[in-house]
Amino acid sequence: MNEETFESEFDQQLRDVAVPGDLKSQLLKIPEESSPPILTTNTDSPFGSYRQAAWAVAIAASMIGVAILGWRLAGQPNDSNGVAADVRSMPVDSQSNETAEPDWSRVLAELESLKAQMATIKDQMDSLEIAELETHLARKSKLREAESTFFATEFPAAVIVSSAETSITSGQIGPSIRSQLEHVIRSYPNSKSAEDAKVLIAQL
Amino acid sequence: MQHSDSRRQRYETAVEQFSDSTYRVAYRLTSDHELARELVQETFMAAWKNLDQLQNQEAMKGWLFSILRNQYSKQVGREKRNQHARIDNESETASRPTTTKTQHEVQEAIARLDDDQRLPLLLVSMEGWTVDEASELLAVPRGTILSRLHRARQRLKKWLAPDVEMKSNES
Repeated sequence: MNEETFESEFDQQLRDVAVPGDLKSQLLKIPEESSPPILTTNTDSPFGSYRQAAWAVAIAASMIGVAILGWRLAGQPNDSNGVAADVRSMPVDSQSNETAEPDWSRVLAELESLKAQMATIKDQMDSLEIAELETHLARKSKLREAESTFFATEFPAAVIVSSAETSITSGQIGPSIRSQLEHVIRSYPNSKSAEDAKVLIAQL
Repeated sequence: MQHSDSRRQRYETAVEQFSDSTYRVAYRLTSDHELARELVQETFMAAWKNLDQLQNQEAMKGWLFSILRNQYSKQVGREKRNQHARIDNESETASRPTTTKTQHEVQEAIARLDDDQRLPLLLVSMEGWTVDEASELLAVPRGTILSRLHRARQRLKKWLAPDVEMKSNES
């Protein structure tokens, strides 16, 4: 079989698809089953009906609200059997009115108590702050003291010893080095610089 | 009212002219009669809803097949392509008892083709579209359609020729 025969046979087989007999009738029913959006009107749309329903609900709610308001303002309920009747039969003397109002003296007392508690808390916070501040100041003062001691004692001695060490290392030993180191030993007897000075004198 | 009548008429003409061809293509794409029917229904439903967008009635064929193609893409997404190679044996046996084996093999071979080769083959070889029409619908150059057709035919020949040869010998 040559290529052309194959292709023509294949194309024929390709077209050989059984189309269902009821397909056309089914497709022709589509317009009846689904109405196109362009033909719909505003009155038929769900949006229209929802809007109408919303208006109805809003009007009904307003009417109920107005009725309740009227009933309250008039103070003359029509209901003679229910809760309204009970309310109407309640005593309306001055004592009952007082009990209905809040106990202002008690409220004021509670407010005072709260105010006192707040003042206490504030005092505690203040004292804590003061204590912390004092601790901080004391620590700072100690540091300053140590710093000033160091500069007053150790620092000059350390500088002298360091300078002498540099001179000895570089072989530039002057006549004053020994006396300077002895001065450190005499002036700062218990310092580390005095110990270092002793070591350096031994090397001279 | 006149507008709706005219609209309806245009739709009915489209059904008369293209329902069979869309079904054939749908079946060859899906390998399943039920899916093909569903695909054609969705295509014509979308066409009915959007018919006012089509100004030129002569463009109906291309328009319908572009809808079919879109609906098929959606369907493939839904089915995850797992229906792709499924052959509707029962329907095929009922409709074509004498050529069942051949039809089965043809459908299987078409299902094995890549998407970009299958549709040009179906439109041009099966439905008799011109290469230019297929090129316009698929939005690819004419040369691309021709090369895809050629490749599709070469592959089908490779898969189907031995069977066809055997069938010729038998007959």
